[in-house]
Amino acid sequence: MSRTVGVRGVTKRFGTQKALDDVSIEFRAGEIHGLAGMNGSGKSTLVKVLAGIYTADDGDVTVDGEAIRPMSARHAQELGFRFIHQEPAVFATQTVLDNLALGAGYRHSRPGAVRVRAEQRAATAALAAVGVHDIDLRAPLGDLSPAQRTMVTIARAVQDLDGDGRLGLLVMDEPTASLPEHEVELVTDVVRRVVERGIAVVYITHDLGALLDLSDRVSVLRDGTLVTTTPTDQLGSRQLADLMAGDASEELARVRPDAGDADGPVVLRCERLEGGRLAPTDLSVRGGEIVGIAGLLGSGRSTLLRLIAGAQDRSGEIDVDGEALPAGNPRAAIRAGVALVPEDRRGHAAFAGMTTAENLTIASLDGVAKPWWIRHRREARAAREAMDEYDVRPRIPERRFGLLSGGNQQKAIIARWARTQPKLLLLDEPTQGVDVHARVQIHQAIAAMAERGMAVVVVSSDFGELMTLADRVAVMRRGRIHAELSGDRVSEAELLHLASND
Amino acid sequence: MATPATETGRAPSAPAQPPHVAKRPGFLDPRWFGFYALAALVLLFSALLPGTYPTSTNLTAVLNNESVGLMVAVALLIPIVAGQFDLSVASVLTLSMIVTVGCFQFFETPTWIACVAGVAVGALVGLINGFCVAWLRINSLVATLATGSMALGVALWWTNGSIFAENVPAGFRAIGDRIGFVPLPFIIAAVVCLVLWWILERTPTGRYLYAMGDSADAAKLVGLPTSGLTIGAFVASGTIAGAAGVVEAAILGSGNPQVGAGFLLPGFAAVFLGAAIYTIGRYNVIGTVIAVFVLAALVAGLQQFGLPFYIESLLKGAVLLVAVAITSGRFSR
Repeated sequence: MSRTVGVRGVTKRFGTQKALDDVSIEFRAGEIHGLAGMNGSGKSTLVKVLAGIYTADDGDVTVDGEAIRPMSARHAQELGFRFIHQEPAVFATQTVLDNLALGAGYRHSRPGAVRVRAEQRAATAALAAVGVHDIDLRAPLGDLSPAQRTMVTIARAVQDLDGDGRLGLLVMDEPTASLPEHEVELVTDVVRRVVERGIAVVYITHDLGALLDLSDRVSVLRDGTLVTTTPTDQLGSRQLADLMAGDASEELARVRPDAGDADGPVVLRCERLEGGRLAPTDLSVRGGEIVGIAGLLGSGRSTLLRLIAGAQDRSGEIDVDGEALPAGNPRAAIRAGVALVPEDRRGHAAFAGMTTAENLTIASLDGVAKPWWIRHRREARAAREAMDEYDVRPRIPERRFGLLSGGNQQKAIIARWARTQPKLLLLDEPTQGVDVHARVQIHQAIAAMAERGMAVVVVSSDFGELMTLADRVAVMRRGRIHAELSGDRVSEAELLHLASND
Repeated sequence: MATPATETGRAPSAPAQPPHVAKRPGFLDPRWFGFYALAALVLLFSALLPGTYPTSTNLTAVLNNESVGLMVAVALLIPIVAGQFDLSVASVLTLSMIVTVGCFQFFETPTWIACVAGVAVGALVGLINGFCVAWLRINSLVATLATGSMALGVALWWTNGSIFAENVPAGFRAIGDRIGFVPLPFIIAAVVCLVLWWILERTPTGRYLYAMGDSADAAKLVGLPTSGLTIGAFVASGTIAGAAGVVEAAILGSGNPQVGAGFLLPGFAAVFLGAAIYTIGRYNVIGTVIAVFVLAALVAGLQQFGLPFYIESLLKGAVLLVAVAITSGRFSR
């Protein structure tokens, strides 16, 4: 039975912006279909339309050419659409058997009692069907390797897709991003087995090499429109990168067009820095210089910043302005002049229940307080000045921080660290989830701090952002810095190509 | 689209906003509702029970009764502000009572040594709690449930379940006396509350405790000494609970291992109600104090109406549920 799932003429608007504009793609059974596009190109919107989470403003999800109306999350489930995200929802303390049986609703058991034998047979069959034979059903899922966990998740997602004759669509979003290098192949083997069973697979990854390697055809999205759908045997990674980036890259103006080669003193020096995802890495950054870090999800780009800021344990040497930093000690790093604007603003930076003023001064209370007394008026003045300088709105210092928009929160977090006058500013995805206006302001604030002699390191998955902002860009892949570009050689397509090929 | 940065990093396109002037909260600000509720309750019961309710005897009784409850409530408050629970305070209060009166009964120590011993034993349990949570990384609910059980165990061990009441000097009992119509225990509780209010609202330490309670991860990343603050919060909590035990011993003139357990739930009810009626969603000293007296005024009035003694338990349990639904549950903002 070969049926096809697809989208036909799908348009999705958010306000006045079109996230998807008249997109038509066919996903064939037995085919791995790659989905490529930069951040904000509409990939996740398309997936959410398929999942029935978003309703298309125009156009339809189709099965065998017939429109599915209405489309809802339940319909998607019933039609046999399955979705696996970067961090799959699994029960880590439960056994492999229970994870598989739970996913199938214990349908081989009776309400009063789990029939272990029958469930075991079904689970073994589900794993065997995707070519997995060596996983102990009794092991807690948390004890398996990351690749094995992903394999179980895939088996769980597709276990009920044959038998009762349902066709299947399996959408996988960066399934291998969090896996160590040598385990990636194990998972892609499983994906191939899934396809052999006549299930259509949609595979999303920023890793262009892997995408071309694995998929039969690839669809490229750019700014919500479908650029092309093409067989991958005619396509190289370089070409694909060009298709994704388009010629928009030339329009991007540098925030600091006249910044020459940095000649300030070396502020940050890392030698054989290692920890978590990061393989031994050397990096040095001068004062007044903005260094961009380009890399895919899982490349170690965030780990690098977290290690420098002491948020994570490490080995290797870090010198900030000639002073050696102890490992895993954020307090010592801050005292040495390191500031980190983390990726997870809500979880790792914001104090949502406290006021905006309190958020601004929390890292620098010494300036407005004695140990037994916060000078409230002085604090309010400092907060107002910071809010003026970084345009944090509304200008109400006592407003609860959680009520501010993402962009204003981010400007405030940057202002928080600017108040400590750091020597080294580390920013992880500084403009993620931030509106266009705030984005420009944040870029200018970062540039201004570099002008004042700060060393700045910016991590961004938006390579266009790195091009506008950074004086030089280090490209990371699989835990290492494996290329460095500066000046005219920095182009979005080039960065993408380097970040996704060894 | 991007223009070269100006020297200050100021956004070029931002129209000037008028400087914001902090307004004083008006009469209808929700933060005063607790005061209004307290005033309304007192007026209502005074009107209904003019002979017995608005009397100095009743006021003295309420102040006296509530002083220990007030100390327990603010003892609970400190770890809660920092995002932790201390379930051991009631048992610490019990142990501190026993230790204080035990000093008199077996060692005939001077009053001040007995008092210091009672407070110190509270601080010690607090230190153990802090160590369990900050260093052993045990969930605070579990850790303090366990240490509380052990503290009570020690109290029962020493007393063998009986009451200590011998050799209690009059000088010690004087702590439970009154000056005019104001009971001395209430003055002690008031001083504790005042100091704590200053620490939480006016010092960097208090600010850091609130930050930790808001987001422990973010607190760590802005360089706060989170372990030290956690230990400090539990030591403060234990110390105040210890002091509450000394005061309770002075009021009763004895050490009774059965007294103590009843203080825990009303304390929690007051802390959460306090966050529901004053600076909403934020645990705070002023709200807690008002909440203690709102509950006391309500219970005193209802009991004078002849409602049975168990009404207090029912009422405070219900208040706890409602208050938590408002501060952090479905009806929180």
